[in-house]
Parts: sequence; C-alpha cells; structure tokens
Amino acid sequence: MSARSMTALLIRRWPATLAGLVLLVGVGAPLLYLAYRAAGADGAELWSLVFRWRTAMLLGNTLLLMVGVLVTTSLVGVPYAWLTARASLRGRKIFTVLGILPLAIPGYILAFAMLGLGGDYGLAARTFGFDVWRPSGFTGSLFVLTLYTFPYIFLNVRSAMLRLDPALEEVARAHGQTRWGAFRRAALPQLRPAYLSGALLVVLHVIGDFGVVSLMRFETLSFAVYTQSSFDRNYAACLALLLTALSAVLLVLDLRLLRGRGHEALAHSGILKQRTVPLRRWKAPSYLFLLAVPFFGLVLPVTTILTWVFESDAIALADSEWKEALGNTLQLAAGAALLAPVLGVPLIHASVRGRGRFARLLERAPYLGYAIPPLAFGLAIVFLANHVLPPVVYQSFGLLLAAVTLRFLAEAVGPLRSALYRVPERLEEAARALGCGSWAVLRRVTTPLLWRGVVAAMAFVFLATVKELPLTLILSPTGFDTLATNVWSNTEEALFAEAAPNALAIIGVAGLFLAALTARGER
Amino acid sequence: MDRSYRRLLGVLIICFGATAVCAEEITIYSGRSKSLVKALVKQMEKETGLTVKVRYGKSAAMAMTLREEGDRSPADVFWSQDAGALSALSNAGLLTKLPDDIVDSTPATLHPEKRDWVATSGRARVLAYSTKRVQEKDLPKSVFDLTDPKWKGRVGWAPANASFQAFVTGMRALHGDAKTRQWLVAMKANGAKTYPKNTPIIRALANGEIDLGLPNHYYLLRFKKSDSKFPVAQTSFAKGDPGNMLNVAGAAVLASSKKKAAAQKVIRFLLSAKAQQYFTSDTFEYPVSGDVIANPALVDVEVLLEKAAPVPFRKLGDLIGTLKMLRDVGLL
Repeated sequence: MSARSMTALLIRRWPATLAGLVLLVGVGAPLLYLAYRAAGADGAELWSLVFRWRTAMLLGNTLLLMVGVLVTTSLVGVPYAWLTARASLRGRKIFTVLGILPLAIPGYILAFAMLGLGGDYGLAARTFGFDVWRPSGFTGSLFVLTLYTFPYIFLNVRSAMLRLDPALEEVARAHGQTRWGAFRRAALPQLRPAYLSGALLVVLHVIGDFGVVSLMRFETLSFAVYTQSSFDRNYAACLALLLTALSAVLLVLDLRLLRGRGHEALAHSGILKQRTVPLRRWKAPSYLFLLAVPFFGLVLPVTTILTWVFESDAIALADSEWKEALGNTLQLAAGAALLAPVLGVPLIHASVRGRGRFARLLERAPYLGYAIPPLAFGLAIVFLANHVLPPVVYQSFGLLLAAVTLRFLAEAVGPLRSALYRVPERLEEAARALGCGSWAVLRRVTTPLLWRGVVAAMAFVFLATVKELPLTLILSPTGFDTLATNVWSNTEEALFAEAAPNALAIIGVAGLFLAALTARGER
Repeated sequence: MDRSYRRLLGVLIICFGATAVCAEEITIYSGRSKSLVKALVKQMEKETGLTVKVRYGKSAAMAMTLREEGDRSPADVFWSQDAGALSALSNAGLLTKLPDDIVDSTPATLHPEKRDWVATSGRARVLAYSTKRVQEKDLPKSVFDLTDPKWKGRVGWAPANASFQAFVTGMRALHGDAKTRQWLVAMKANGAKTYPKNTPIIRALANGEIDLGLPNHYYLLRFKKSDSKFPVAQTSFAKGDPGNMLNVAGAAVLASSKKKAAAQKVIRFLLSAKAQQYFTSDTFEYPVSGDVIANPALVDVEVLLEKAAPVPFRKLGDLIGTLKMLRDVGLL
C-alpha cells in the first residue's frame, strides 16, 4: 500500500484512526517515559541493583509460578470443560455456571479468605476445632491462582468443544480409532487455538498478579515492583520494564503457536448431533471433581466471608466505609463501561470491515493495555503525570478512569466483534451510497444495530473494573477508596473482619453481572 | 433498543453522575494505617471545620513519594508512624518550621533540631511470642540472639514497615553498619519470615506460622482487647538492647503546602487533649502532651524508658541509608 493511499485510508476511517491514536498515546507514552526514567537514573548504582542474583530469583519465581499455574489450571480446566460439554451427566448447566462464578471472586479476596480460614487460630480452628492448612509461599499462590484463573481455560475450551464438528470424530472412529484415539487425534488439535488463548489469559494474570503473591509472601517480579514502587521508583521502573518485556515475549510466543492454525475450530455442520459420552465407573469421581472445584473456589471463600460479616461487629465497624466505597467503585466502573465502547466501536468496526495489515493492527490494538502488567502500567502513568502533565491531572479521577478504560478495552472486543459480524455490511454500503460519512454511518446505521453487543461489552468492562485492584491502588485520588482498595488495605493489616463487607460487596456486584451475562449467553 | 438495555444504560449513567461536592479541603499523607486513625480523622473534621482528605500508605514509602513529588505535591500535612521518615524529609528540606507553641507542648527530649516536625504519640518495639509454643524462660535476651539456629524459621518481621526501618537505623547508630548488616543477613539465613505489616505478624503468631515476632507494642493490645484468650504475649529484651527502641509517631507541615495555617490547625488538633486521649485509650499508644487518663493495659512508661535502647530520635534521620542496606541484603 502506498503512503498516499494509506493516508487516505486513515483519513477516511477517521473515527478508528482517532481511537487508535488515543490508545497508542495513552498506553505508549507512559511506557516510553518509564523506559526513559529507568535509563536516566543513576546508572552504576541501578545497574548493580538490577543485575544481581535477586533479580534472577524474582524472575525464576515468576516463571515457576506461571508454569505451575498453567499446568494446574489445564489439569482442572480441560477436564471440567469436557465433563460439562461432552459427558453424560446430570446438571451440566449448573456445573457450568459453578465453573464460571469463581470469576466473581478476585484472587486477592480468595487469598484473604483462605488466610483467615486456616491456621491453628483461624476461623475453622476456632469454630470447628480443627486446623485447616494455612496456605502460603509457592504452594499457597499456586492453589489460589489456580482456583481464580482456571475459568479462563474452562470457558474457552468448553465453547470450542461445543463448536466441534462431531463428524470428524465419527470419521476417525470409522477409520479404526478408539474413542480416546479419535478424541486425541481429531478433536484435540482443533481445541488448540481456544486452549492457547485461555492459557495466554492465565499466564498474563499470573505475571501481573501482585495481590495473591504478596499475601502468600511469595516473591515474584510483581511483588517486587509493588514493594519497590514505594521505596525506589527508578529501581521499580526497571523491574516493571522487565515484567513488561516478559509479557511481550509471551504474547509473541502465543502468536507463533497460533500461526498457521485456523483461529476458529471448524464450525458445527449441524448434520450430526454431538453425542454425550457415558461415564460408567468414572461417574462418582467425576461428580466429586465437579463439586470439589467450586467448593474450594466458591463455597469456602464465600462462607468464610459471610461468617465474618455476620458474626463480628464488622458491619457496624465498616458501615459507612463500605457504602462509600461501593459508590466510588460503581462510579469508576460505570465510567469505564461508558467510555470503552466509544473507543472500542470505531476500532473493532474498522478491523472487522477492513482488510489487510491495517485491520489486523487495529484488531490487536485493544490488547495493548491488557497485556502490560497493571502495576507497570500504573507506575508509568504516575511517573508521567507527576513530572510531565499539568498538576491537576496528578491523582485525579479522570486519570484513573482513563487508565482503567485503556486497560479493560480488551474486555469489550469479544462482544463487539461478534455483534458486528451480525450487522450486514450492505446496509452500511447503502448508507454510504446515500451520502453518509464515516461517522454518520457509524452513528446512524451501525450503532443502533450493535446495541446488544455494546451493552454486553459494557457489562464486561464494568465487571473487570469492579474487581480491579493495582491500577486503583496506585492512581486513585486521595480519599477515593474503592471496595477493592478497602479489601486490600484491611487485608494487608490482617483485619479480615473489616475487609469482609467490602469483599462481599465486590462478589455481590460481580456475581450479579456474571449471572446476567451467563443467562444471556445461554439463550 | 430493548427496554431492559435502556434501563441498564440509565443505571450506568446515574452511577457515573453521582459525584461528590467540593469544600475547603486539606490533604494529609498518612503513614499511620486507616484502621487505627480513621475515627480520629472524623473527629478532626468536626473540631477543625475542615474537609480532611487522607491518603494512606506506609510511612517510609510516603516520605519517598513526597520527595518524588517535590514542589508539586498535593499534600499539606505528613503524618508518619515513625521519626525516621520525618527526619529524612526534614533533612531534604521539604518541611516547614512549626510555631513554638506547637513544638513546646511536647517534652523537650522529643524536639527535632530544626523544629519542623512534632511528635504526636509514643510507641515501643517489643518481642511478641506465641504462648502456646514458647516458654517465657526460653525467650531471647537480645535481638542478636534471634540468629541462633534454635529460632530457625520461627521469627517474623516486617522490613517494609517504617517502625522496623527506624529500629534498623537505631541499631546502625548503636552498633555500626557492619554489625547491623551482618545481623540482617544472618536473620535472613536463619529463615526469618517477611510480613507486609505488623498486624499480620500478630496473626501469624496466633496461627502457628511463626513463634516470635518483632512488632510495635500496640498491635497485640488491640487483639487482646476483643479476645482475652488470644494466644500471643509480648515483652522487652534486656535493658538497652536495640530491640527495645522507643519511637514516636509525628506530624509536619510540608514546605510546598499552600494552606499552612489550616495544616497547623490539623497538627494542633493531634496534640489536643481529645486526640491524645484517643491515642492512649483507643490505639494503645503513649501520649506526648497534655493531661490524659492512663490506659491500664499499657506497660508503665517509666519501665519502658528504663529498658529502652539509648538512641536519640535525632539519630534516626538516615532512612535512605537504611533502605539501601535493606535493599542490598535483599529484604526490600
């Protein structure tokens, strides 16, 4: 494409160009400043801080945890997906919902519930008189992160399994494969893209997480960035860059693994119905497994938190605190939910309708903010706001809102894209032929038809923001406490009962939104 | 558009639109935790008539943030949980001199040289232990004994905590950098467990994760107040041990503040009888000014003073040096 026609395209698609620019500047500028800051610091001293054994240890721990969680989430997520998609079991719908709901409980809340429950003076010991394991260190982090992130693999793999064309497996069977062989050779390869995108989400979560590892006292890169962000910001900037580089490597690796594969498993031909597989003697263990996962990931933490809320005088203690925080959380989440489609619709629209490299670029753009570890992103923004931007911006609500929106734009992509695929392109062409410009087409034709997708996108962004911790922690205006920051500050001080009402409010709001989205998805 | 969707959109817009109204505001950066002081801040708003916004964090971290922010800092008052963070800011010239009547309302031994911050309450470092797993007679006499193999993996500390950092600064002043560094390294090698703050140390003692801990004195007392059977107790090391550091929480007005008069009002309130009584009765600290009814749960201040490590507060200013040491040995 020549430079001139590229420019013409950029101008013609100006809403997308503008949104893309906002994204690029919003995410790129802070990162560049972070790099500048890291490079500009007192060289020799910083060098000796960064290039030492401890940094290797932090990186090693991060990688260890990442691989560990990937293995355990796969061991939990894939069987869970298969059982709810393909096995002949009662209550598959219920188990599906039970597998999704852990998404309503952010990792730091799960960790804090487990910490309060276990130990020989924990809630369990005092209530029932027996000691429960008090998770900590690597195993503790592994346990909590697995329960929190396995739904990403479960959901991706499950929906891919439902889309599989059973004809393929039938053909494999007809060629003499065993049932397992047919599944392994005909079905599994097609599940690979779905598995990989789930796995990418899991590893991004793991390397970005600082709440769980801090509470479990397992020192990873994020943990160090969090600690250092308050003591030596230049050093923190270096570690944050390292973390960002790690996440970039993972993204590239993921793209490599996906290359050459169909991005979607073959569509269901509709000729053959998927047959469910009888479980026979595996039935009891399967039920046990399907019950155990939500028991640890859902029932245990929620009961623990409920006990705190009702047994102690925590409600009285934290009464006004959690109500005010709920207001702040809703305000932030609603703001991000309203802003996200404004950026998202032009971008996704251009990427779905466009062709070639430009379209692919636009398609990837929303993931920029998502892939950068949130602590690194937050730190970069604080730097920029403190040293470059006008003072009103520093610690302002607007800055926090912008950061959260940029980060969670990716959550809006899925629903917007699938909604756009359902808007006939011909309608838009007709409008254009009748003299509408880019913006007018978007506003008068596409958006009204997109409405369902936009609302779903908003709900996803809202949900993500309600649970968000690191960005809010770093960027929130003075006195602006959200439910998440309240949970965090109380948990860090081991004031579990005071954290409980805030945690319950997050789970409540997130659970409601998840339930609504699930009900919509099941339709 | 579906009606339900329109409703959802409406809800989102209402959520977003519900913003607070502005008023005469003062901004405090507080290194003291929210759970300890939020009730007092409410009283402060009532007494001073100001709208008080508080940013909570760790004291040393806040000091570093203030250094980073410099002239552009939105903070008016810095309220620290230890003298070290305040001294560091004073050394950096970021604080402004306080009126004499404020400084002189506290004992002269607590006055900083430049008179640019003031103590607001007193606290002591202690040795906390599990009453289930440690006998009183087996307790170590000195903080240096904690590197003994018999305590391997049984001690908890909080290197990111400002009071701990002040204790390290004190140890450096008393015993020199070489010995302090040696101790930190030996402790780490002996499996000392790192916690983010003091309260989790107390919790971990009760839960059997650790058997000894190095917190400030008032955290345990708060647990004991609501649960007398709580299986943790605390004591001091032998007389003059660096583990028995005394410290103060204190407050200062930032040089960059544009509301210095209002900021001083805040500090006057912290030294008022009402606030001092709050520190004594509610957060189990020692008062530094005025007539206050003593808290029976507290060890007598004379006993503390006699056992205390002989480090004057003026020697606690080298926070940067301590942070560097903690980083070098891999604790931060």
